[in-house]
Amino acid sequence: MKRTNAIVLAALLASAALAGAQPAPPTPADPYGVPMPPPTDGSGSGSSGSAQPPPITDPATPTAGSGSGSGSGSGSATPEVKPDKPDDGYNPNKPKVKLPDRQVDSPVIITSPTGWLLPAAVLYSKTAIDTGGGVTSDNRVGLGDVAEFGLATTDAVRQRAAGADGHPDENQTATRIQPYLTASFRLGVGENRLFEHQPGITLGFMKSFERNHDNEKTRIAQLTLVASEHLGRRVAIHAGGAFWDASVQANTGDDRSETTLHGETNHWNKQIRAFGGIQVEPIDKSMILVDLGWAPEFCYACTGDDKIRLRPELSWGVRYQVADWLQLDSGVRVPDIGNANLLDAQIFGGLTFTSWGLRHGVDSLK
Amino acid sequence: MKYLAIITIAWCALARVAHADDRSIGHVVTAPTAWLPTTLTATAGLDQKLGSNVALGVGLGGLAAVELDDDTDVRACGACTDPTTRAEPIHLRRATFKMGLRPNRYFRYQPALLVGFRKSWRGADNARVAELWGVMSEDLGPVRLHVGVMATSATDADVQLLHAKPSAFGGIEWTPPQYPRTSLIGDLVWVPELTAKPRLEYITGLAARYQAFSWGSIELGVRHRQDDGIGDAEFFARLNLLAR
Repeated sequence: MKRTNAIVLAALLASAALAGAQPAPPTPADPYGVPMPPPTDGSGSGSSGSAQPPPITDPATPTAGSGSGSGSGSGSATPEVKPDKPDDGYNPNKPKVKLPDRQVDSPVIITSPTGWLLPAAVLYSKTAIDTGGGVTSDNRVGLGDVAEFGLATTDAVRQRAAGADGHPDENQTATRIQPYLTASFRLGVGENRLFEHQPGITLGFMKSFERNHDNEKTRIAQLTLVASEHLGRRVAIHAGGAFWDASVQANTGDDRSETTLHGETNHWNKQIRAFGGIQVEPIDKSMILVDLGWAPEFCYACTGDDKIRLRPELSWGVRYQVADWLQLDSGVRVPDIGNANLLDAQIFGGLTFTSWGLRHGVDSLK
Repeated sequence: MKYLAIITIAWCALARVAHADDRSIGHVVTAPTAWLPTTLTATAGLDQKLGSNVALGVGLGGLAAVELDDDTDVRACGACTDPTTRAEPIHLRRATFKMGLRPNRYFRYQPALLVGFRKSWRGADNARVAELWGVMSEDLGPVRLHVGVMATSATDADVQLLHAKPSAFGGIEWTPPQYPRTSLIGDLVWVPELTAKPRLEYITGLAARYQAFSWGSIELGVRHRQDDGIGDAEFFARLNLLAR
């Protein structure tokens, strides 16, 4: 219990440190407020999902004082215009400038979370189906450039029958428990926010609603810390750690005691897992993704510590940026790469929509 | 046959400008190639035993492709226990995901590289097959070579019979300079045979592919399975269609 309290305290302190590290809100001249270091390869304005748009200067906002180097030494003869009074960000007469919607870095690789957060008030919705009849939906909204809230259904949680020895029967195919409704909250620091080459870092918590299946009540929860970093314009890597918990409890029978992952012997080794992935964009707008994550597997009839296990899940696929607001995903997901059962693998296809509409609505109210 | 009709009608509706490059065709005779379709491809074939195969594919961003197909490559005997029971071809509906790199993308003579995964829905007698393969294809002027490795899993009536069984496959295409629209193609590939003694059996194929139209090609050939007599070889005709 003390160790759990220590972990919770450390998570809170880390969250407070991350929140404290956020700089002041962006000025109206930079409504999307994503500072980026100058491109190192000289290209800068690629069409990849990682590329940032060129800075857009609001004509209604004076440039004096917003940059020390603007115009100085460049030979420009334009005199520097000084405002009558400091711009406090509220100017009802200021003409509204509609900024182009930029692509957003995805908050998930394929199944695992990334270290990138959605920009403030940007909506994200991903719906996918697979050859095994699985349907998933993931809906999120960015909160103030520092956090993100989401509701999702997942088909990653599975149930396996028990063998005669009371352990999971590896010869039987595990069945999916779906839909499994989850809620998530993530907060963090955007990439390059604090210093150049600083990876995007997020601390996330995902928790399921209670799910009744075959007269068994199950729940899962996951605390993740993940970092994501662009390596050049076309490659990005993701690495993180997850702290899992899950519970299963019978609704019928004499033994209705709850079995939890944290209550098992040697539970630290069973709860902590590393995950990660890589994305490569060899062609503009087309990205290869590889993702290694984990998913809980229940065995209702098993005895001892085998009722709940974490199984490694390998996914690979391609993301095609059809438009700034639409992505097509397709690939292969192997739910339990540990036993290399190809028959369990599924081919999936999904559509992802991102919308800046809410953001524009919020901006128009300022 | 209804599939053939559907594909033909769909093709007439979809085909616009076509191109003569057949490096979108994802197979030699039976073995997969590392070529990726740019947009839409369709294949329909029929053999002398009225076994049909139909495939529809769509490219994704030049990096990947998804295909849906129905074929009779796999043979099964329906959970039989007698080793002498003859296996018969079964229809399997499958989905394929392929992703790879086009040739010469990063350096000269870089072959096309592709990783593919194909998975069937349940067929007759609950048979299911999953295949994971890697293949490279190289264009050497008049000759094109295809070499790869494959892992195959198969199950029949929910009992897993083959578990990631490895095999190698390959194929060759030769286009004589005198006949630039004609290619001789041949390959060797291993497919599951689900009998009392499940195994991988080889299929060899030899065919001529004629680029009859800028938007399509015709194949005529013969396939022979392991342990079949020479009289059991299957003659087939196939139509490949490409769209931009």
